[in-house]
Amino acid sequence: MRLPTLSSLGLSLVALGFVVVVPAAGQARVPRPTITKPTIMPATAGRYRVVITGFATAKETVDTDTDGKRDEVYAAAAVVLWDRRSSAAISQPTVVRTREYGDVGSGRYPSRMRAGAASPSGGLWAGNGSDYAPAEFDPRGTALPPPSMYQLPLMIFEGGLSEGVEALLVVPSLWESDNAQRHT
Amino acid sequence: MNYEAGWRTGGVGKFLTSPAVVNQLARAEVTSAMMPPHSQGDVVANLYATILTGGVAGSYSLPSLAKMGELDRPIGLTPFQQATHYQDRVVVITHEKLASLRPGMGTTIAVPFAEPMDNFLNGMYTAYVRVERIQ
Repeated sequence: MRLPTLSSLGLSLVALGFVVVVPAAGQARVPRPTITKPTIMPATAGRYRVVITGFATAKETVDTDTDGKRDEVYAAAAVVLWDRRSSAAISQPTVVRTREYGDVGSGRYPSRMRAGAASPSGGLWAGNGSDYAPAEFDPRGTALPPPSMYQLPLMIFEGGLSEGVEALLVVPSLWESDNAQRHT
Repeated sequence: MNYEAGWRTGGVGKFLTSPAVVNQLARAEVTSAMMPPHSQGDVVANLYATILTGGVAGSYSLPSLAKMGELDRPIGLTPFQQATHYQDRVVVITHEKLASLRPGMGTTIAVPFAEPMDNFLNGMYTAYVRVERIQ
């Protein structure tokens, strides 16, 4: 017997009111990941959490050092939950992003998270093989700190997906920051 | 309008029904794919411009690298038809793809952002996306 889906049961995905932590100065926007209310899950559905856990630098970009040693990088993701049956978006597309990771410049960049070994105060490069953000990140690790809305691991979605109905599109991106015009 | 505003207001209908997303939807596993580049005559967006036309299309053309170093830019640019393009990386997640996961389990995929080594870009990064089943 085919079990009913969330939608056929009349259960809907409802966004929770979410307490937002305002990032440090210099971070103009507050990411708002899509998080839906827990419901009783039938066998044909599950509740999932999606995070960007971190990133690795195998080779830094060509970048000036005027804004910190080597690269300063932030992660972002566009997220859309949609109904496969109609190809219509269930949630409005959102874009979430982290703080920058790189050289904190002995306090010159207070909103930046220290990562990398290009200088004593950080900076992402590949001079020692590979750098990671966050600094203690292990790509193979499964025990993660609680996800955050503005730093790694970055929460990008939490909610229910049911068979044949919802699909989640995640478009991750990494940006080299030059402390100028923002694109995310 | 910038990249983020384009996503929020540009409309995603064509994106969701694009061959790259449909193909990802049909795959049995969670993986990542690059949106195909647009042809030179179909420049959809310029990440460095103030106006983003065409909404979300997955592939963006950067006609000039002259301002590199002054503006934020996506890592993972590639040359295409005498221009530099950024192609969105897409990951499609469904319950069916994750059916083998029990609550508490997860899977991590690596999303590469590699650039050619000979065009003043040179970056090679990898982002890690983890999906966990929590119920």
